[in-house]
Amino acid sequence: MARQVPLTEVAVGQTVSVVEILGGHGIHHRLSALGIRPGAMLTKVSGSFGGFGPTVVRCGETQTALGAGVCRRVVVEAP
Amino acid sequence: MKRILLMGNPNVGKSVVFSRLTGVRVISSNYPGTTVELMQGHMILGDEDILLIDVPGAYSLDATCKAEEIAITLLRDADAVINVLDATNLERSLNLTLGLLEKDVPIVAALNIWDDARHKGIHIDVAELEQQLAVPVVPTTAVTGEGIKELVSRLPEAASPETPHRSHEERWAEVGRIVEKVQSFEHRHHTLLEVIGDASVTPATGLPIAAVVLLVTFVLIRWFGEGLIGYVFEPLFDTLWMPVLTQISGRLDPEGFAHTLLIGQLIDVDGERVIDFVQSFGLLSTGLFVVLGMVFPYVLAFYLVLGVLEDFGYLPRLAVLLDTLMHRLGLHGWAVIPMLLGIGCNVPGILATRVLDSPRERLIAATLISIAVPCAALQAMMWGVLGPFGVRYVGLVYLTLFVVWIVIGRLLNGMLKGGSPELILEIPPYRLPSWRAVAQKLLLRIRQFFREALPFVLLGVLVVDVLNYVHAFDSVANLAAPVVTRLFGLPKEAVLAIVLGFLRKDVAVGMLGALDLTPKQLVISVTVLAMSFPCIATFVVLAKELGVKGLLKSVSIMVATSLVVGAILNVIL
Repeated sequence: MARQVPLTEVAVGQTVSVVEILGGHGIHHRLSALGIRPGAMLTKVSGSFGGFGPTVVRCGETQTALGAGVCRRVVVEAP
Repeated sequence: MKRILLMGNPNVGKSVVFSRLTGVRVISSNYPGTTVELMQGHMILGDEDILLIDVPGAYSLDATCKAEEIAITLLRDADAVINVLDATNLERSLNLTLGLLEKDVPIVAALNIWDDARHKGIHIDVAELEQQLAVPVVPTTAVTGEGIKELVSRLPEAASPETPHRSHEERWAEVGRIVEKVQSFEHRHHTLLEVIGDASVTPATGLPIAAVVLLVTFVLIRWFGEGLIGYVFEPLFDTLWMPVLTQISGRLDPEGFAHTLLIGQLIDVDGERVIDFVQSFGLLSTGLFVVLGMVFPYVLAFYLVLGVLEDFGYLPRLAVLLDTLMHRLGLHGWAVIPMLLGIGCNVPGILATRVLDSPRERLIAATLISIAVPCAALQAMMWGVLGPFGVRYVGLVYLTLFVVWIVIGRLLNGMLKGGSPELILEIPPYRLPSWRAVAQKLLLRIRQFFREALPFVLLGVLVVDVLNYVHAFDSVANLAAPVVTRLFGLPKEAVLAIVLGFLRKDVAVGMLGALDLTPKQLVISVTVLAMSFPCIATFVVLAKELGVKGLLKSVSIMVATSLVVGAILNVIL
């Protein structure tokens, strides 16, 4: 079985699939509106800068910037 | 009258469709959340007058944010909905469409950004999509006008097919099923724009790119603004307007009321008494010159460059890069956009704070804008009045404001309850701006500028002239003299300029320019003027956005800060 890690630990350029989103209804909802929901494939476009700053992911045709706190709650695995 | 709503995800071009359908010009840009107010316009269909409402973008109808709540309320008495979809982002667009279909309202779908989808190798079978949704689907490229006629002609076919109520998971599953059926991709390589797009959000390449973009922006605005002043407006005023004014001046008693009002004071230059556009301070001399000859060129230059950056899609990327910095101020990266808009004019900047999530953030952002983000009008005058003494003095004002911006932001972040929320921000693709759209937006903003600037600048000049004429100048100045002279080291006349700042900041700096101040005094007075109290237009908008309590908080912070900073500058300079 593939290892499940938070999105923060994924290398830039890697494509992964979303396993689950930790947290309440609010965050679930906002992310799913942008296509980030369990089963979706994400490609990490850029990582955070020395632990700070947002991560940018591509999901389908949408690029989204996610703050570090949000990123830690997105659990992904390599397909 | 029939009410039709324009609805769709953020940044799918609803406002452009709105402009096309109603002829009402509204500001549209390439980033989500440009429209924060409801826009209404009329369109004629057959012989029916229809009210079209441009609803701020929503991702769903679940009322997770203010925009979505508004959308749901409006839906209750809508006669039809034009659902604008992003053809390059079909999956997400369809989620909202399916939500809309569950409501009992007839729908027509506009499959917008069709040209981009074509370029990106995305194929959508429109006939099949129409069958799947059971509502009319029209491909459109609103920016060029493609498909808009067909959209209008198919409005009467708007349908409200029977749709089961679905849970979130079921809805996404249905979206997946439809997309699978109607959409196919052509294999293609990354376009140059996409490569640049990725490079400008990756910190290692993005930060240098941001530095270059900001530097080029600044240089362009200066070059263009100064060019317009030096080669167009000053020569026009000197050769065409001066003779007219001299004529008028010659026919009036130089000490009379009419002369004071229209022309102002005559200034001694080499023993001759002449009209000076900056110092005379009459309605027709300084009043017009401040608006047209000093401020307008910079406003034009600023909005031209901003418009191109906006439509290209650069601003959200800047927001991403500056996210970490903005967190220190209790905001997140998104707040960069209201700040940048505030550099043009504080009013649209403060309005744009509506895209921020919490009242706490809005209070911080709005306060920071009105305290430490100088508007284009103020900056233009600052360059005009302080620039001749040397760029370092102008730099000193900018530096002070920047330090204040950081310090006040950090203080507010520490003092106000709550934390800064996390960034979740969609980044639109880079798009080559349509020059027509850029020109239209520029025109719109210039019109707004004249509507706001001209009356208030003239009113400001009028107030000064009347006070001058009845010799009330001194008594007003004496009132606040202790603060101004002891604390700031300014002559007491500067008080009036600072008070005048409530009307318009540009005319107030103009007045400072007429006072014969030293560069140090100018630096202090311009800085205090920039921070102390918002101009009346900003004041009204602050009250509207923050409520009376928020306004009081915000304004007391401004006054307190300007007193402290003015005094500090007086001591250290």
